[in-house]
Amino acid sequence: MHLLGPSKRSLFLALAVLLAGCRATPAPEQLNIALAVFPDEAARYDRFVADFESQHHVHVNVLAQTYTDILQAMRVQAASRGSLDLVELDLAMLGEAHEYAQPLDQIVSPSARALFSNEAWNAATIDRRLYFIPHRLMWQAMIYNRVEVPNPPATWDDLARFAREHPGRLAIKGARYEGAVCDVMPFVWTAGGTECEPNSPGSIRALDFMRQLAPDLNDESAVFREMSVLEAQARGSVWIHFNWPFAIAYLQSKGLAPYVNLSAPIPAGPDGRATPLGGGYLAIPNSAPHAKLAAEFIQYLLTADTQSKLSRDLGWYGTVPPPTGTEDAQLYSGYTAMRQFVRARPTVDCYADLSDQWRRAIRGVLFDDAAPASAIAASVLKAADRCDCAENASGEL
Amino acid sequence: MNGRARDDNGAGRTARFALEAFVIAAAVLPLYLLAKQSVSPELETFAWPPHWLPHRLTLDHFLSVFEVNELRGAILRSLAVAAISAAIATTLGAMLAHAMARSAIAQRVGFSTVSGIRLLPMIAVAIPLGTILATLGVYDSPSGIGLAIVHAAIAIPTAALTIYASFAAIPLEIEEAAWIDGASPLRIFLTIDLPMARAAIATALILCFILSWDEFGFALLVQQTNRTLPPLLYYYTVFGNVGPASALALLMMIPAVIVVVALGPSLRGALTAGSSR
Amino acid sequence: MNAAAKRLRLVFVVVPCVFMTAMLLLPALNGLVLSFDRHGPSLGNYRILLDDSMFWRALANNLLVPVGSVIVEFVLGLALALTLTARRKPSALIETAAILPFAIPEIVILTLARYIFMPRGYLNGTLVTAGMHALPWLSPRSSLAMLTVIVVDAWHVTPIVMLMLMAGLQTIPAELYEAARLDGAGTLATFRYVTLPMLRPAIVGALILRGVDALRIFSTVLVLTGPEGVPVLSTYSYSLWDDAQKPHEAMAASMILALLVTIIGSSRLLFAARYSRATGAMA
Repeated sequence: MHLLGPSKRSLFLALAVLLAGCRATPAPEQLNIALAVFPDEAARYDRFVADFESQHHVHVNVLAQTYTDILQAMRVQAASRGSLDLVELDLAMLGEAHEYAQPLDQIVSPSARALFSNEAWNAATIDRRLYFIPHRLMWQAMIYNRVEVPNPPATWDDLARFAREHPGRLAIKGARYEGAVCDVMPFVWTAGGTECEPNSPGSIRALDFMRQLAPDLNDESAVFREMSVLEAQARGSVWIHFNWPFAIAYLQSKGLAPYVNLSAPIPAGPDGRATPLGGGYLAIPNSAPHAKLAAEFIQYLLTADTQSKLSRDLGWYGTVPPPTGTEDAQLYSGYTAMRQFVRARPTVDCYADLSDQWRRAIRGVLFDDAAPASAIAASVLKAADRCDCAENASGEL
Repeated sequence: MNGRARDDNGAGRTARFALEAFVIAAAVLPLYLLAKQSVSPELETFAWPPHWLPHRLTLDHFLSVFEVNELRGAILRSLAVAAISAAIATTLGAMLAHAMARSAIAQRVGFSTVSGIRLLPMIAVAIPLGTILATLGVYDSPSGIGLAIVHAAIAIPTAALTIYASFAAIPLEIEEAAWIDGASPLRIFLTIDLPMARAAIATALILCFILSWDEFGFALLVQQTNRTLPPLLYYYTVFGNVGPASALALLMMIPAVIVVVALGPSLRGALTAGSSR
Repeated sequence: MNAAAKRLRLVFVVVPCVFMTAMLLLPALNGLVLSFDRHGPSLGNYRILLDDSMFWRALANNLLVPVGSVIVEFVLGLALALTLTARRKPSALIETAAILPFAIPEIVILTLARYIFMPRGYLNGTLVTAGMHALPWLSPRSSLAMLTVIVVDAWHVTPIVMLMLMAGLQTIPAELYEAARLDGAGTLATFRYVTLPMLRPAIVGALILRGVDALRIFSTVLVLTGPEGVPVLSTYSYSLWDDAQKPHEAMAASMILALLVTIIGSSRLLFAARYSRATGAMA
């Protein structure tokens, strides 16, 4: 220490005190939850967990992330160490993520099971073990600008006509990510195709329809994702797009719904209507530092009272439709209408690859004017073959 | 007047004034737009055509920056990561700079390493680095220590190049005199060289702090759930939260603008020596 | 000095260099190895890249955008440097305004640029209010978008180039300008025959520094257009890692970027070494 001058010595001491202070009194036990929520939703979730915090004398730390970030963190934690006790994952990731998650069969009682439909639980059950808990179930509807489009399109023909008459006003989430599949799959499904049969007449017919729409799509569709297309809708450069219920919440928070924007059912195709099931499922990752506390939190969540409170506090549409006559009923009417047409994407562990090939095919059709048959190239077919896709029945949620 | 072209004709002066006006406008106008967005309700910000003057004012966006846990955490994390990485980088950079100033071999080795390191693209390093940091237990840590270590590594070239000239300028005779008096080389370094290079070291600390504060790429890939400010601002922006994003952007500018306005001219030399992406 | 001093110098060189190598070079080498891993050693990851049209677009853009960016930086930087040094009285206001784009964090500049150039942003707002047509500044895969990206990318670093060129300008002796003026040379001729040649070392130095940095463009594209808008190798690699969850393919893409940067960077350094030997100046 004699090498350091007096000023440097005091600096060293100050640092030592600071560092010691950091390791001071033991804090109450902390539960780390990573959710795919927006920061303002995270703030509301903070308030929602206050009850649990006081009951159990713990601190719940809510981290707002994106699903892909969460999956990556989960992988890393499974391989070595991490701090996450509970994570929310997108339905599309469940197949792949189950190896990083702890089985939850013991935690979920029969009364808890009754809170959600079989379809929702089936998506979370892999190899006959339950790995995930439905946290927030969502599906897509059509978001439209009621001022510019007083009569939203109800069928494929209506949609095609709208696109022709108003070029650049219909948007598809066409970035090379899962959202592109979510936008296009309803068209594939309602034409009789499936993601596991890319070559079927229904799939080709749906892609043909998309190709027909392509020249009139908003040209930012090639980069649009949920939030960027939503911002474009808010700013009025897009008049129709497809999105999840948080889109309505976002527009409402900016004062743009129901006055300017509303939801409507996705246009019906030859085979009826369909919308992709999505949303968050909770999992306890492997190597979670506070797994027992996490299990307690899950049990706390899985009661009818808590579920109602969750919907109310977070403004999440899904578990319970809003009572008729309320503003929420008007805002979410499109979603309520689509409730019976929800369909899950296959929860197989190779889904990521299958979906990636589909994304490329979709983008080829939409932005490179590729013919559907050639867009469904060898790579999509190979991916579908490799995947042991089971048929998913659509049904009431 | 060395280097100043004496250019008195009218056309030249008009062009000059035009360019100067453009520079000032280009610096001020965007900042004004950010400031306006940060105090306007979002409904107004989304209006078309855009309003140039705010019609109503709101503090909601700034309040959300301080009320939301994640934002507060990100601010503290950015501060901690920047401070720690600047300290480490300056220390190691000073060491390297000293060796380079005193030995031709060290100069070549140091210069090659620094040049080579600067060639590495972030994305080529960050993806595999995640696994390595995970093994060390510092991937995506709440304290940001993993990122601090990475930032220290990328900042060493800046620190070394900033301090190098000051060390090279110290006459050998002073060191030799101290050596004859019985001081060890380490003691000479600590009690003679470091103080004489004070200004450059301070500049290096500041530059490394700002480099870390601003850094986006590694922060995006290494701190995925426990974020620092630049990736957080990115998410706010692309998630359509214009108001909070603008408020956050303004806050993020504070350290850098303070430094530039306060230190201005003396930063010139340092900036040109140590700049890097 | 002697053995003790040599030992100290050894430590002073080894510790920082080992630290940098361990934290940065080793992961890159690890990435290189993993890029040849596709359920076993194979070239599969690279083959898949070659089959992807977006990869080729990313590769082409990764050459076009940096070249454009460097050109803009230098033209603008030189114009600014000349303007600022032509003033008889240096103006702190203008110098600060000129340096500001560099002082502001890049992510803040990009956020601003996004709000300015987006379809319903401030630039189009100005055009429409003035009775003109809005332009698709960031329309995905368009040349205009590439131009916008080039300008915004250059904007942040123009101050650095300006500073380097100002330093160079200030070494030009006033006598040379006097002589040119007496010889009857106009502004343009003075610039061409006096300023530019004397400025060459500074220009070369700045080019070497900036040229390689520009190749590593990442956040500009990510914020302004998203990875699919004006793809470059770094965002392409990132989207393979994040959106597609394919880390080994992402590493393959990043290795191609690293190769590109190494080739261009090394040739620049060689050029610099030869140039500095020729002029006797320190690179």
